[in-house]
Amino acid sequence: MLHTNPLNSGPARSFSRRLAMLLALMASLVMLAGLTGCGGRATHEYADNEDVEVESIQGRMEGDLMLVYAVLRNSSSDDVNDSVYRVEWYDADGFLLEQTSWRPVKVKGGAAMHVRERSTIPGAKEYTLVISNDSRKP
Amino acid sequence: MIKLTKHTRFAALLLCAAATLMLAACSGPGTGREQGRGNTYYGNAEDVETVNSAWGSTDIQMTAERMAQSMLADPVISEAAAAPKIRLREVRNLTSEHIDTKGITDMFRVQMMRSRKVRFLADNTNMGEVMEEREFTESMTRRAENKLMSDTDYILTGTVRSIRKQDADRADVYYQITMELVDPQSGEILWTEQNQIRKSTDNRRIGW
Repeated sequence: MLHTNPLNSGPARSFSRRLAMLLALMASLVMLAGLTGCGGRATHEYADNEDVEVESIQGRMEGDLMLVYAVLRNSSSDDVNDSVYRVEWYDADGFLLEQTSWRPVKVKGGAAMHVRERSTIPGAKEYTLVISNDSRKP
Repeated sequence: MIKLTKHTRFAALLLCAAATLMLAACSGPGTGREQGRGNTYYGNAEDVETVNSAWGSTDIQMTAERMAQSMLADPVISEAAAAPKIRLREVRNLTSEHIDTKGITDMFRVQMMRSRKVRFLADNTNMGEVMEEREFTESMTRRAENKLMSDTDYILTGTVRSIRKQDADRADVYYQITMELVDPQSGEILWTEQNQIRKSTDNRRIGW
């Protein structure tokens, strides 16, 4: 008499194969989320409201110093006069290495503004651009 | 009711006094603050200061940091085989207001020194002390290494200019800060950078 494992039978084997594929897919998604979501420090953050937003931001090494280039945009039609920003530089362990002073900027309504900052201490590996538009606003 | 003798009362009193003294003596490390009656508080040194349109701390910080970032990116410094020796010369104040330009160059020097990409020689402000120390050392050791003191690769100079305009309602000031790195042997300007700052004050008041 031929005994067959129910799991090796046609429909059951197909189901288990699909389950394995689904689990593999889920594991991949979790890993991807982990890599993208938790992969280091946020490149920019807003200290309060978002009158002026970061349209794009990128950093690169130039020798042993790090350069950050960002485009800020005032999405409203009104001028923003009280916006300030600073760049914080972190080493490979996430320790704050240095930070610029707050830079005051005026961004006309709908206009873009280009920000270019460079670390002055070798060893910066990550950065965060902090924008504070007006602390007096809610 | 318990009746206390004279000796017991005295002992209790002594115990209370000792406890009070101990509490006073061991009341912890304190708060670390000595506060007066006024509203004095510490702020962040790097915050933007806009009390008025006169030259201020934010202008010093922005200028020094911009200049340091620019110079560090320049091939004269970034591609130098060895950290060049720089002597700070005067950044002349050509504005109508009092500006301590040494504040700019001091902060600039701190930024540059942290990078370890340049070296600085004594400048006018501390040359006197350096010379005294040298003379003392020379007299003690009979060594004369005068060349090291004059062995400057570059000197740093600059100017601060301003244009100020105002009427009854508003005031506007434009600052132009220029710094130059010069080869003292050839007189060639090897690096220059300019920082421009505009500050406006609106004196109009809403109301009647």
